[in-house]
Amino acid sequence: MPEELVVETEGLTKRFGARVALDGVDLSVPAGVAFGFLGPNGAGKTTLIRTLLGLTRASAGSMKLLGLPVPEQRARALQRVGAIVEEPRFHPHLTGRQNLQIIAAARDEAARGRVDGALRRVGLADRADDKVKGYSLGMRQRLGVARCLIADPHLLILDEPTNGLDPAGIQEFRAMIRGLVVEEGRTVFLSSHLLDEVEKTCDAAAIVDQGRVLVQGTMDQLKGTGTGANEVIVGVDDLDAAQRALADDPRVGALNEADGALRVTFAGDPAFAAELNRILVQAGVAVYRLEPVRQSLEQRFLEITSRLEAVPA
Amino acid sequence: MSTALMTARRMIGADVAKVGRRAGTVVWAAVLAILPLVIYFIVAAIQHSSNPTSDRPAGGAHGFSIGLQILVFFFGPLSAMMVGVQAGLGDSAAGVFRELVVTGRSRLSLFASRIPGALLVALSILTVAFAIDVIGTIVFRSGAHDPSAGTILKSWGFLLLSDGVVCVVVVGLAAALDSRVASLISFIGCELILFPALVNDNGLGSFREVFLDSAVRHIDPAPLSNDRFHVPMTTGAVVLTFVLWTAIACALGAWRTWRLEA
Repeated sequence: MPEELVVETEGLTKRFGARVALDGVDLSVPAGVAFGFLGPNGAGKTTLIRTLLGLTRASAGSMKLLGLPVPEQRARALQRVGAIVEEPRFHPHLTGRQNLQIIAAARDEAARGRVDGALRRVGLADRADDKVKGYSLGMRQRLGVARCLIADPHLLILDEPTNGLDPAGIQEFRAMIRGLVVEEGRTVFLSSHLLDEVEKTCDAAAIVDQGRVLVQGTMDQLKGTGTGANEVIVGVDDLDAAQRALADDPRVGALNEADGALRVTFAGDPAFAAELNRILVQAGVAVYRLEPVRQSLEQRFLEITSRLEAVPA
Repeated sequence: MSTALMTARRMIGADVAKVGRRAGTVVWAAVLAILPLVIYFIVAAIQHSSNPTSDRPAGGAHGFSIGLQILVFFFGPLSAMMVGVQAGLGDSAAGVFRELVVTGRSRLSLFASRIPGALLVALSILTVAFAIDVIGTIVFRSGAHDPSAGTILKSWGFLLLSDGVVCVVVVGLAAALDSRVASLISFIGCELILFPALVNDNGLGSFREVFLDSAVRHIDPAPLSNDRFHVPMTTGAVVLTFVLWTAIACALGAWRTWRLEA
């Protein structure tokens, strides 16, 4: 059965005069995950979101939201999409509840009935009748999510949602997003320039730079499909003996000592780690630790974006 | 009730809430509509009590007409403008227009719902002001004749129509200009200075029919006997003037809302 996609773009291009903000973007966002759209500032993240939501017109290419072609069926598609584009804005003279009721009026008949639940879901029920001009940035972000939830959305599109939040607020926000995905089965499309945020919040991601999607996949795929090199930390009783035992093996690449252990790099099958253990034991070296080194998204991101910079224009 | 009608009702209710709950706008609109009437009745009553032979009673049919002129031609339009500008620009000024657009609701329907929303707020305020005109007419009549019930009802309708048209025009043009300051300055300048000056220029002849002021004066049910701004017009020309002003302003507002960067 084919995977259900909530966002699909093919060759999506957006030009502002001579400047190309989106350059043939092909993107596939599966349903039921937190999907990170990761890229540096100015990479085209907000432009893609604005184009998907019909706030600006695409110059070329095609796109679908929840399986519906947009802009042709934009109104129908957006009925089940909630979005925060850049910072969430409200009527400051109205309360949080009144602001949600105003948006609910523009949505379907049932939306008004979801206002209280949405306020409770984001932890704003106690402050719902305060005027928004008295809200902190974190509260506004949460109210923005509540505004998305009154559509009972299949897809939430959040553009840099943790901008300006303090560490506690970021952690709270991250937990809320995970809850929306895991407990409620919604899809969250989260754009961010913060690697750590995407790594900790998302199940899958796309890395974008200069208007192009460079790579996309699950977090494990993104971290593991780099140079094809594997790295393990090997804790042994005799470092010199271990280095001698492995030095002549052609499968072993780099061999470095670090923090009283060996860092061994090898190409090909990750199962070679077991072979390493056997070689060392046969050489009379006691192995007490064998730990694969996980490549962080940050390493992968830098690797990919630096590769892009190396490509001649 | 059909889904479209229910949606329209919800959206109009939301627009009434947006404008009606903005205390600054509503209070100033009410002050502009009501305070000049109160001042007129007090001053005229003092003048009449100090010199009853030369100064007419503040109330009665004459006082009612003066109160109506104050409301229809000067401070009622200002009040309607304040509400109209807020309705026309409130969403974009607060940055909420984008949030409304991403609901999938069409921009034209977002613009259209502002008009009845603004009218409901503005006409409610003007009705209160009109009630004060009627109360002042009765309280300060001092033996003068009251206007008939028919004249009062027609005058109320006249007020709602004339200042309602101003309100609709301002909603459209404010949305088109997309600037609160530019909108208020240009509307006040035109309504209180430029258009009255042009209507009073006999050299302009029938060209003066294009001004709203001329059409409004033509249907005044309780005009003052010395109305020097009266421009002879046919009923068809009056209707056409009202329709053209509202249609052009709404078309401009709708066009700008359609094109506005959200």
